[in-house]
Amino acid sequence: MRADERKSTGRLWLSLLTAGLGVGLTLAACSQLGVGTGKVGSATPAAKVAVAKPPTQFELFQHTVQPFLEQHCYDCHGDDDAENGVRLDLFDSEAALAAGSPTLEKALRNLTIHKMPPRDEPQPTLAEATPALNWLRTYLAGDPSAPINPGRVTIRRLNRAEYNNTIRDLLAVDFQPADAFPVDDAGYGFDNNGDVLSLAPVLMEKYLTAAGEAVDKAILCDPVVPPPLQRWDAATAEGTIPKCDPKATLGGGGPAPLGAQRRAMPLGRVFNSKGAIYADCAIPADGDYVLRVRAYGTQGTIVRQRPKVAFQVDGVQVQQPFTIVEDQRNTSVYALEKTHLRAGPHRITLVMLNGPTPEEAAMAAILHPPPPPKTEAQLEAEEAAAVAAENAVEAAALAAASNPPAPGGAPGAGRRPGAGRGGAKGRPPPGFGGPPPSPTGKPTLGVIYFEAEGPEEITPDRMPASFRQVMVAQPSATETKAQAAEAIIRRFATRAFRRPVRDEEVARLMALWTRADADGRPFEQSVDLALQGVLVSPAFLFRTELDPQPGELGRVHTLNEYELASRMSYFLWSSMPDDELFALAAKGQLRANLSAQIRRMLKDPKSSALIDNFAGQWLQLRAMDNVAPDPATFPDFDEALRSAMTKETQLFFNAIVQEDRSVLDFIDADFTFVNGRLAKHYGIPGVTGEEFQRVSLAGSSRGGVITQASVLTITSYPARTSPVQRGKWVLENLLDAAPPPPPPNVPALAEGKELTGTLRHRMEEHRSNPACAACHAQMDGIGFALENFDATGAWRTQDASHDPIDAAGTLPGGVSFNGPVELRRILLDRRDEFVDCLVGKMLTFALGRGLESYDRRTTDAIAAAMKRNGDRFSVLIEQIVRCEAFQKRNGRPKEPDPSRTAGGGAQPAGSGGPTPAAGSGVTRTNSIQNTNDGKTRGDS
Amino acid sequence: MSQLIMSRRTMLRGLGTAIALPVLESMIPTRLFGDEAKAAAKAAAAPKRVAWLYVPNGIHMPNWTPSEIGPNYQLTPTLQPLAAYRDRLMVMSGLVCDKANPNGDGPGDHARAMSAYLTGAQPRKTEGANLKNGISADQAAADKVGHLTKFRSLELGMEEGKQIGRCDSGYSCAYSHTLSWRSDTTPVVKDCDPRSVFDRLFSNVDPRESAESRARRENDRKSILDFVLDDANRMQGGLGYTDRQKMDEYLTAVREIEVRLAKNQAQGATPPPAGAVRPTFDQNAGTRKLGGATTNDNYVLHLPLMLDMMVLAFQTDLTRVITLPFADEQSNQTYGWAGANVPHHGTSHHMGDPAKQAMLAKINTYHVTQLAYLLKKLDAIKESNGGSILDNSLIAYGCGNSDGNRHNHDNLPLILLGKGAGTVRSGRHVHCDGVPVTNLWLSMLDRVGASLPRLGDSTGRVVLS
Repeated sequence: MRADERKSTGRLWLSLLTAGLGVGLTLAACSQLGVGTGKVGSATPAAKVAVAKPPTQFELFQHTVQPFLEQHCYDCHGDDDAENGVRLDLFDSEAALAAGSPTLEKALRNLTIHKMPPRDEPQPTLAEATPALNWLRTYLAGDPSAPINPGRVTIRRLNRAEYNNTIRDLLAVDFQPADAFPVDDAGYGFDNNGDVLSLAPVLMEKYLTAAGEAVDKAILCDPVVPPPLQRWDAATAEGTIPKCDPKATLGGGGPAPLGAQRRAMPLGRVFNSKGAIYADCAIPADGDYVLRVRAYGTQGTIVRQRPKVAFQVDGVQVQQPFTIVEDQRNTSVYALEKTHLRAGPHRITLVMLNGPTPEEAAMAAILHPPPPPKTEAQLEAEEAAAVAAENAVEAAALAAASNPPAPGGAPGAGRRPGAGRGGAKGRPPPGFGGPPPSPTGKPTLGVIYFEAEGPEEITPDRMPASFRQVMVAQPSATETKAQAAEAIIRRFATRAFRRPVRDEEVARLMALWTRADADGRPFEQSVDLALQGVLVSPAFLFRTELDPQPGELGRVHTLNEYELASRMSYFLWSSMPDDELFALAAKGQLRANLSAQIRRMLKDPKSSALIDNFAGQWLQLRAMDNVAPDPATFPDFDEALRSAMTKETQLFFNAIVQEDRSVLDFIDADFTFVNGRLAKHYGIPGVTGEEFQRVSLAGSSRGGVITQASVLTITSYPARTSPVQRGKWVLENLLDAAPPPPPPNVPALAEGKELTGTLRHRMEEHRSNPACAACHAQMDGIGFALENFDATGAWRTQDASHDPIDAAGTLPGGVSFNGPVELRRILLDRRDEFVDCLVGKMLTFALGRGLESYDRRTTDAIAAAMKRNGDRFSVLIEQIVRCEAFQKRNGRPKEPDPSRTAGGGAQPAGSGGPTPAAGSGVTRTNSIQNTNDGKTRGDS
Repeated sequence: MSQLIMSRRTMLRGLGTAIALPVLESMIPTRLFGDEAKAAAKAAAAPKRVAWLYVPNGIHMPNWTPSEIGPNYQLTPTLQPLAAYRDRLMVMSGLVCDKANPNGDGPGDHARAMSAYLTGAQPRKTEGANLKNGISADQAAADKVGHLTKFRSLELGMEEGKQIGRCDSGYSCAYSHTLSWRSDTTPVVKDCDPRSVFDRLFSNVDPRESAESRARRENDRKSILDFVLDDANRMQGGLGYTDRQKMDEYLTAVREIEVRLAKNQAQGATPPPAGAVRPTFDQNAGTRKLGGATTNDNYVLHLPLMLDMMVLAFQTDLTRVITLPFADEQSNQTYGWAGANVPHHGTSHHMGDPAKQAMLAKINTYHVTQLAYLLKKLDAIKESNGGSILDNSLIAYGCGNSDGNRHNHDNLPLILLGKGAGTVRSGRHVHCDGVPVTNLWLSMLDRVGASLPRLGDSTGRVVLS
């Protein structure tokens, strides 16, 4: 048949059929929405209503779609040298239709977005196109009366974000080992796609290293809670030495380097004679204690000793006496380690051993009364003199040091300036800052406080959260090492494998423990080895969903509750299930509580992972890390602005999640979040500071994600905007209508034609070339409407060459608009496409596989449910979690598995299998949630 | 110990898995100290190495291909930096990578160029599901000779995978970012971090660590690996076909590390050569967005470090098979320090503009200077057979695209460096009109003891001597 003959015959068929099929198609459409019985009406051209037998899909195709294709498509796609290799004339049987589903999908998409037929070809009218489009949609969705094909997700390893989060939740450590892993490849727009995630040896090596480091960090750690401490202020303690005012500071006693410092130093209890101070206390438990004293002293002038002290417990000296050599109060804390004490009441006494006797001291006090306290002026004068003296000595020492010393040179010549005077520069000479020397000539002592700390033994309650979370048992009188190890391993493996661990797995892990234990290692280290084994096991690294009946090929089965819990937690948190989800799964009650759990999970702070990972990839927000606006053009762009831009979009997304708003707010909303920096960038008055606030955008030209600075910046070049990139962004991410990349041999522009004029003008010239226009007609119009936003998203009314911005655009199909507000209205008109796009992307993210044509029924149903419920975000999430593709999966297909596209034809037989009972060996839900601030006290 | 390894191996085979593992005898490390050790020792005296270096987005061919054939050709501007190595340089023109052509699959020449280059197979056009390519030449070599060294091969790189958005026209990003394919379904991810490469090569050998402590660490790791192998094998039974392929990757990775560990235990860990310094360079700093891709301002520091790692690996005979793409296909890296501060991919679509072509030539020349840097280092290390590492190597440098504007895959730009220990008659320009590039790979594999009957779309061999 010649082309024009084909066309006229086709038209004849079409007009006849349209009349006769009106009823039939309506019925088909109703069945799609779940109304009616799903029987398709007659397809015969003679308008008979009675049906002999329903026509096959292929017959419908021949009558409805083929004529349309002949008329509008075959010229380019109907023979051997078809454009782009896409042939639409080879569907000559039911089987060919099924096999050609991907091509039909593409055709449907291109027709829907008016990309095909190309703009310079005659366009079909709505009346001509609708029956074909409807047939395509219905066919590609599959037989509505058959069970939905849930598809099958390839076993997926944890990606980088999931690995980090899982380690965080499993071990409670602040450690992101996956940041050093190779980057995950993305598939279908997301980096959690099972088919694309591979495991190379280099990654395996990194898993091994990370497992070791993570477990070491978690359990081979120091305590964070210091042992109990009892401290007694020496000034007010009981004892044989006269008490003094605890607030007294050191006056007198000689000048010190820094007057203020000296004057603030506490005096403490000054021992002018031998004696003791003590405290009665209750020792909490048997164990090793540390007894400490903060003290300073002065060497005796006649008896040239420094003060010697000792501790006593209940009158009995413990350990050896020790000498207080410091006379600078700031640095003198002395500790007696490993003092064993028993529980109960005790008296801790501090005794000075070598001072004068009380009688000697009393006599000396009478003979040599202490000097009156110095006035402020005197102290300052003394201080100045001391500083001058210090400087003189220093200068001398420096001079000596700079001259090379003679062999065996003068003592002190090689030392640092000031070193000869007792240590590091800045320390006063002996006697400075010490208690006043005793007129008896014997040493004197000053004590600030003394204390007892302990028991020193490390108990679990002193360990950080990671330790307590993992080491749920300790060897003790009632539990052997092996029993404790097994308890720990069993719980850890259950949580790590995200399902009850099997006895044989525990046995093999215990073999690892036994090996390390036989080596003579401490308990924690031997457990460490077994836990490392858990963290590199495939049961941890992969999210496994095993077929309960592996022998039965093709059988659809329902995921068990643990598998479902994992899918939910990795969807909403990019991390492992928490204790509550595990508990519900163990009891088999997760499905019964789905709505409540989804709500809880969305409210949990861990749902920020949805923003980082879903929004980060869907809106391409991750690119914000690398944008680099040209500093010459945008000198104000800095890191503060970058992070503010990113945060705005994150908070915006979060608001839609937490407030359960309509997803259409992504397109247009009357609010956003700004801080001072971003508000200045946007020209929004009245917001200052670093905190973000919600502001209203009512009446402004901004609203929704398209006008947020983050999106506007990531779709620009460093120095200028790119309407093409912006249009592509909208098409790709909001309408799921990405144009293909430019062909490689785009012909050079006509000779002698220079690119002149505004950006728009230059691009108009590009679009006047029909080879380019097919795609650019889509993109440029959208981008032009956003031209009022510069390459960092700020509003402008003139472009770089000071031409006024012209923000008018046209979309194929004749829709025109001007400016961002109208653009958003146009996009809202296409809400069905947007919701469809969002559903598709969210479902891809949730499942971890690309969508196939049999998923169309699922996405349609979800979109319809959203429409009935105000398009609310929670409806989207809940519908996804409840849909068949999320709850079930196909059994193993016959092997090998060439392509998983089942098209409209083959559906898997049988319904889901019985839900397996929750496994035995259920976890010990040991939920020590004791949080502490983890501050480690500095060592004394 | 060898008994245990063999029985596990047999178990793997019994499950019908399709792992491309080396031959049975290579799994028994103790035999390395039997007769094989003698053969290995002879070879180890001057082992033959093979490497593939790749540059993306095509080459400005007028500055590349010499007009004369034979030994007396004039060095072209882009090849000028290699003048000192002329006697070990073979320029090859006319080679073809037909599987990078659409052959009915429509657009996607960049993805195909990179993935078909070493495989000679038509990559399946998919965004993710059912990736399929072929085994690459380097992995085929590693299958045969990889067991002689601690690392069967090394896959280095400069650019990691694309993280946001899609890659080339319906092809998964794995295709345009991966040169090496372990099997027809397993892309091998590149290590782009010089610190990581150094650490892996030298097993974090800390000279202060006592032998006892290291032995304990290695034994620990070995017992962990035994445990997880057991786990994985038990899991295989319940998995479907595509799942088992993923588990195979896991098993292969674990086995490879086990073998390396055994070698380290038997032979001792290999220390870095005297004077080798662990890099401290962070290759992610300096990355910024440019259009739909990224460019890295520290590229000029990054590339020499990766080449240094290549030298270290060859020098210590830790491996004899290396691949290193200087950038991935569609790379938009800018080369400001080379006088070409323009995005590479965008510029390679020059559309006849001479200014763009000049920029492209500058980028090409810069890359060749880096190749010269590598050759200089390899040539400076003398080996026991009197030649340098360069003399004992065969290094192929080229691209799967010829003219980046036209995306044609015939008349590929390709040069062969080194002498393969005297097995190559170098120092000339050879024109192989329409010969599949896989023929050349087969000839290279012949010379390193990894002969294969076929590879991808090969039709024979290229005569190199």
